[in-house]
Amino acid sequence: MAFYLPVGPQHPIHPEAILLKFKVEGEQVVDVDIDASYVHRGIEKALEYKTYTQGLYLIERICGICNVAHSTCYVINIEELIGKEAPPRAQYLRLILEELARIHSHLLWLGLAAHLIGFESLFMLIFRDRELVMDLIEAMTGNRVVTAYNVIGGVRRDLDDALAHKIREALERVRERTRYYRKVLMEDPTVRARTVDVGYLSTSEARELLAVGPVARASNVKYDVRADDPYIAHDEVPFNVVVYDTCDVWGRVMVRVDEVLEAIDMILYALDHMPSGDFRIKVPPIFRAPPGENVARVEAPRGELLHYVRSDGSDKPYRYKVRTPTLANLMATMQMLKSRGDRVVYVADIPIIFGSIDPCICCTARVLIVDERGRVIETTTDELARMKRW
Amino acid sequence: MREEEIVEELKKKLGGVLKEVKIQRARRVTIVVDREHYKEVLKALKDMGVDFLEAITGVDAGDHFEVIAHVGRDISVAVKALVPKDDPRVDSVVDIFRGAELYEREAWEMLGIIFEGNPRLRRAFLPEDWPEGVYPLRKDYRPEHPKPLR
Repeated sequence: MAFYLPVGPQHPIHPEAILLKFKVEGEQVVDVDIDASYVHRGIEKALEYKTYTQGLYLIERICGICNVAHSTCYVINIEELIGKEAPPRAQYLRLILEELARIHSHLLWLGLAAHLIGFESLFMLIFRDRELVMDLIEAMTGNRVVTAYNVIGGVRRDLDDALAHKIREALERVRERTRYYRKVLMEDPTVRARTVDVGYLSTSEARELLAVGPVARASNVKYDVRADDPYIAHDEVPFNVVVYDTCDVWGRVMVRVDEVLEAIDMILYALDHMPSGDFRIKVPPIFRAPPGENVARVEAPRGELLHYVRSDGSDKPYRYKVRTPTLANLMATMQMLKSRGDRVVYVADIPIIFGSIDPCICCTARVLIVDERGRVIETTTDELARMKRW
Repeated sequence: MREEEIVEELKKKLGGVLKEVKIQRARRVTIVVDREHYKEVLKALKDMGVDFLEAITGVDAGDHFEVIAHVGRDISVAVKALVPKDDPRVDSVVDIFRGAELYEREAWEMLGIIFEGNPRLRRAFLPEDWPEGVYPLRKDYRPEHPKPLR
C-alpha cells in the first residue's frame, strides 16, 4: 500500500523553500515530485526595475550562504556588458573571498551532514572551526554573512599585510582540523554505514540529468567552471578539480572535504602572488549599458551558477536571469530519491540524500506524514534522521 | 572542440537554418534560429559532444518571445529561438536533455511559452493561488507596489 509523505516546505535558511512529495511503500520511497513555489520572490522581475548598481544589493540577498558567488557573478556579468574590467589585484581579492566563502559553505554543509546522520559531536566541532573562517570573512569585508565586498569595477576594501598574516595563521589551523575530519569521515564506521551506497547517482545519470558542482564531481563528471571557463585569475592560481567515482553520498562528502583543502592552498598561493596596484576602478553609480546581452558563470560552492543579462541601452537591465545550482541539481535529486531496481531508498535516508546536494535544508525543517485517511502526524527531520534502519 | 570548430560543423550540418551565428568572445557563442529548427540545432550540438544544458532562459523581447538554451561546459553556446507572441509554442527538448524539464516548466510559468512534448508542464514555482493566464515576466505585467505601512 502506498502512502504520500510530503517533506517540507518550511526550511527557514533556504531561499527557495521546497516541498518534496514522496510516495512511499512501507519504508521504501517509490516516487517523488517537487513544489518550489513557496518562496518565489520575483527577484528577476524586481531587477528590471532597479539600476545596475541597485541590483547588486538585491542580487546578494538571493542567498545568504552563496552571496559571494551571486555578487561575483553579477559584477563580472555587468563589467563584461559595459566593457570594463576590474584591475588584477581586485581579481585576486575576489578569488580569496570566493574561496573563503567556499570553505565556510562546505564546512557548514559537512556539519549539517554530520547532524543529519546523527553524529552530533562532529557537527559541533566542525561548526566551531567554521567560526575561524567567518571571523576572517568579517575581518576582510566588514560583514559576517552578506559581505557587500564586490562592486562593479573591483572590490570595496584592500587587504593589508597584518590581515594577510592573520588569514595565513587561521587557515593553517583550519587545514589541520580539516585533515582530521577527513580521516574521521573516511574511516568512521557510523559515517560509512549511513553514506556509502546511499543516494546513488551513476555517471550517466548525472550527465543526463545535468547535475552540477560537487554532486556531479562525486559521480565522476569532471566539471568545474573555475577550470573550464576561468573567470577571476583561475588561470593563474593552480588548483585540482576534485573528482570521486563512488557516485554516492559518501563521495559528495569527500569531494567537499577535499575542496576545502584545495581552497586553502589557493588562498595561500593568491596571498603570496598578489599583484600590486589599484583594487577598484571608478564606475559611476548610475550609468547606461550599451544594448546587448551577456552570460556569466561562476562555480558557487554548490555548483555552477549562471547569470544572463540583456540590456536595451537604458540604466536598468531589460531582462536578468539567474539559474541557481540547486535548481540544476533538483532533477538529479529526484532520481537519487527514487528506489530503482535493487537500489532501495529508505525513508530514513531522505534527509541525508536530499541534504547531500546542499540545498540549505535547515535542521528545523518540518515533515508531515499523512496516512491514507488524511490523519497528519508531525515530525521533524531530526526525528526522521533518528529512525535507523538497522 | 574550439568555438570556430563548433560554428563550422554546425554550418556544415544545418547551414540553411541558422539565421545568425556570432562568436561573442572566447568561450561564448550565440546562434539564432526560428523556432522550427531550435530542437534540431540542440540535437546536432548534442551529437557533436556538447552534452550539457546549463539553463533555458525565456525573454519577452517586445514583439516576440525568445527562448534561449545555454549549452556547453567549457564553451557556452546560446541557442536562441524566436517565438511569435500570438502562438507561443516551441518544441520541448526533454527527450534530448532529460534534465531540461524544470527549466522548461519555469519558462512556461513565467512567460507562458508552451513547450510541446514536456510531460509535466505544471506549476512548480508560482504560488498555488496565482491566477491562471497571468505571466509575471511578460513586459505587460506590472507588479503591484503596496504602500509602506505607517
